[in-house]
Amino acid sequence: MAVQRKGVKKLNWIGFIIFLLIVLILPWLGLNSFLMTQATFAGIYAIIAVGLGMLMGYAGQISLGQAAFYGVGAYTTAVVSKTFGLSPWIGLIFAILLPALVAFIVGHTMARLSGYYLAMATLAFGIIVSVLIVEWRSVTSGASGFYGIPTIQLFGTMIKQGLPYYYFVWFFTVITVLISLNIVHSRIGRALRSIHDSEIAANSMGVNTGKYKMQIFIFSAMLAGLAGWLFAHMSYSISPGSFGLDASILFLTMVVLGGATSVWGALIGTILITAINIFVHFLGNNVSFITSDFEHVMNGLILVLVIMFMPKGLFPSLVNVFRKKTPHLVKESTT
Amino acid sequence: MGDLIQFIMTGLTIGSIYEIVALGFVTIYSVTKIINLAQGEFVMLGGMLMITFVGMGIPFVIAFILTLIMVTIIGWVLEFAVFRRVKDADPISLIILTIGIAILIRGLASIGWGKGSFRLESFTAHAPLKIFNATINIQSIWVMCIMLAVVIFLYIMMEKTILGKAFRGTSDNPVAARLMGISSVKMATLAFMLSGGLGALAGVAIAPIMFPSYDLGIMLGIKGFSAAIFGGLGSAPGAVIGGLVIGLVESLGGGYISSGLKDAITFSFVLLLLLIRPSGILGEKSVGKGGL
Amino acid sequence: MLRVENVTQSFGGIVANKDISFQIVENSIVGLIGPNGAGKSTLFNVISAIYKPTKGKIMFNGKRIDGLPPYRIATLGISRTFQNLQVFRNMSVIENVMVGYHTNSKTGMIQSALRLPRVLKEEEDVYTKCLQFVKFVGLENDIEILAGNLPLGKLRLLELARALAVKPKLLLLDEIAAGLNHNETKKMSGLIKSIKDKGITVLVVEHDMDLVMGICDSIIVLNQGEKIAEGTPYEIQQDEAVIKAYLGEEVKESVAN
Repeated sequence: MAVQRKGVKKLNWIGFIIFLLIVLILPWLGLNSFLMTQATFAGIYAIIAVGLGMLMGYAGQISLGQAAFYGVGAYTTAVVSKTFGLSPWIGLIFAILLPALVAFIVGHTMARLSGYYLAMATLAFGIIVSVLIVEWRSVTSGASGFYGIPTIQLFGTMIKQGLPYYYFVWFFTVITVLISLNIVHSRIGRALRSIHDSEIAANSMGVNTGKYKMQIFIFSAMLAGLAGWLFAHMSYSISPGSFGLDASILFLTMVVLGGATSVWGALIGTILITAINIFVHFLGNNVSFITSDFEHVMNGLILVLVIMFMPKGLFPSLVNVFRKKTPHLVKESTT
Repeated sequence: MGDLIQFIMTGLTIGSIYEIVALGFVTIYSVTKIINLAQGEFVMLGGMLMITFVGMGIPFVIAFILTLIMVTIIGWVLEFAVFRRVKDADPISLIILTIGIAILIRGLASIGWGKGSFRLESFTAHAPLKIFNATINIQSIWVMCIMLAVVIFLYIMMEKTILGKAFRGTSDNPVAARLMGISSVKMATLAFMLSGGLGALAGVAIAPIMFPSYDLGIMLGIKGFSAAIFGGLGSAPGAVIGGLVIGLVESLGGGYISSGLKDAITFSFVLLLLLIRPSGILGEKSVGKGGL
Repeated sequence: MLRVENVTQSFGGIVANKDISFQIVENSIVGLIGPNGAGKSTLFNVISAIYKPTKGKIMFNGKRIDGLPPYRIATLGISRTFQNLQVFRNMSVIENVMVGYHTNSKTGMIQSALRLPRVLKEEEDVYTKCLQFVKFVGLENDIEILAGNLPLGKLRLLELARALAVKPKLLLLDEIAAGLNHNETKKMSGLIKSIKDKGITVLVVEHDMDLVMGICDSIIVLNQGEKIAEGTPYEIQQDEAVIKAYLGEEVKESVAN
């Protein structure tokens, strides 16, 4: 909403503060190193999910190849910081710009597609990039993985894995959420939503749908690139397996579960999926037949069940329930 | 010359499989306007079940029939339990749904069969043929014959039988068909079962050549989908041509340029196609939820 | 102001508009009528740049507009409503209208992301301006209602408000009275007349003869893809060809009124 009802605006701020508090306090609730890593990953994935959510929920597009930008970001900074020996912060600039450039080139071609054709195009794109990552061995070291990625330094101290990196990642995540919320509650957000609801009417009202679809596509690519940067410098090494179709589908699941039409939805979806995966992991430790493949089964099941019973996702559905129970915050029509 | 023939034969073989998968896509799409991205999983199941049954000592022909029946039933279950309830969803939700089903099936397969790949004996034990310096695996001939048989079978069914006409009627004009008493639900069920059967057939046929494993389905599904798009969604002849073309592109690209890059080459080709003619070479037959 | 020159529009083998020419004078209300299948909607879509004409030109204030993308048309000062109602269902009434105001504001993506004070000010400004349009059509009690929850009558008003927010010089109304009852139609007529008083030129496609004869300064009649008559409501009612085209039913009815 561009201008929110007073009550809802206050809620949004409260929600944001609560979110911030949870992020700050979480590590002190006794997380072991596995959980800390998972929580850090959640932050990284959330950045991608928010971008993908904007693309899907607002511009009404779909991307089954988002992991490609994630991969480009990660490998770009790996090459810049290890192969060329430059500072990871320079790597950040390239990790964000290169996916943006790729999105710009690819986006032009995809601008005319929609529905199944767009899905296919993004799928094709994602696969092409994964193949290139594996085959371009001189640059990426191929399937065996790229080793020796330096740690990030901030004012002379290294940001190591664990608690410091957790806060480092979530700093970026919070900024991402803020920026995205700003865009959503703005003229641009309205334009995007109008494209989603009726592209023909949006066009007739002067909304340059092609331009906005492109802009949001580039934005989502930049976010994925940022996430790639964060991932690369967290791990000492990266390998192509993290950036393929499975990853793209994971991000899709997070967005679908939480609800594409809402920034909070994407965030919640990410946290939920991470929690579910943690749960499965623990089950796996105790019950023999549950392996990591079970994650795939869970993902698939979630996608199927959500589309069947809650197609708009968790967050919008919860908001609807909330709307019905708090009429004093909402003015309903008495037609 | 020998190389070229080799690549062409490989291309036609793999293209035949893509084409059968593409036909599966087209079958379901033409009646329900749904793109079933889990189509590839039918193929995987076909291959894996066949291998399992044969491994249990069941005679070849019976195992084959059992496999076909099981996968056809799975197709029926999908239509009944899932797709019937989401008929009016928007295309993007449907795409996501079928992706979910594909992952689910793949995940269950990885739990059930593990991650290894398996072998099935060729249908007939025969030394490979030698044509113009190219070595042709006898199973490839089988695959191409099966493809031909499928095409002929579908043609006869669609053009000459009442059931086929009812099917085509529902796909061309669902409202009119319903007014004529043709149940669109029954047609949808038929479409899914047919697709299941076709997929299983392809899976069994390709098993001796491709060493099936739990993740065989994804790439096949995606490439089969590309083939269906190539020919124009909803067009069966298009699916046939599309499948063979994609197979040839992959084989020739992989052979002459680089085998590691073959998927990238194939999908670049598909992307190019989508740019130039998003509605496929033969054009999309019905303006359904797909392209709009 | 608007000049349609020899526009022909064909789809495959079907010629929907055949060599149509006419002019619309500034600050008037022009009606476009004709029996079903006459090609009104097609011509409408050609003028609003949804279709590119197979042959011919459309000139707007001396500038050629056929073949331009639809979003450019709005910036030039032409906006429209849709017969099949293309409201933004998941957005509120006020937000729908604010999208209409899109070309009159300019905050871009980066500024929005940073939420600069300038952006907030523009938002307030846009909100206030759009409230005027909402009030004009009488929907001020429903500002926050989601468009998808509104009944037909209000949806038509919403589309009108949204199209007005573009601040057009030429407003195209595509069967805006379709489905409205007698009172609603009367109200709509009144609104359209007020719009003309504000200096906006209006082109209406309509089936409701009362509405058309009542408010239009001039009328263009299409039949089977061709223009068969043009003139004042009185002239049209007397025109042989028009009467024949409609088989006299509706036109005679209006004459009697």
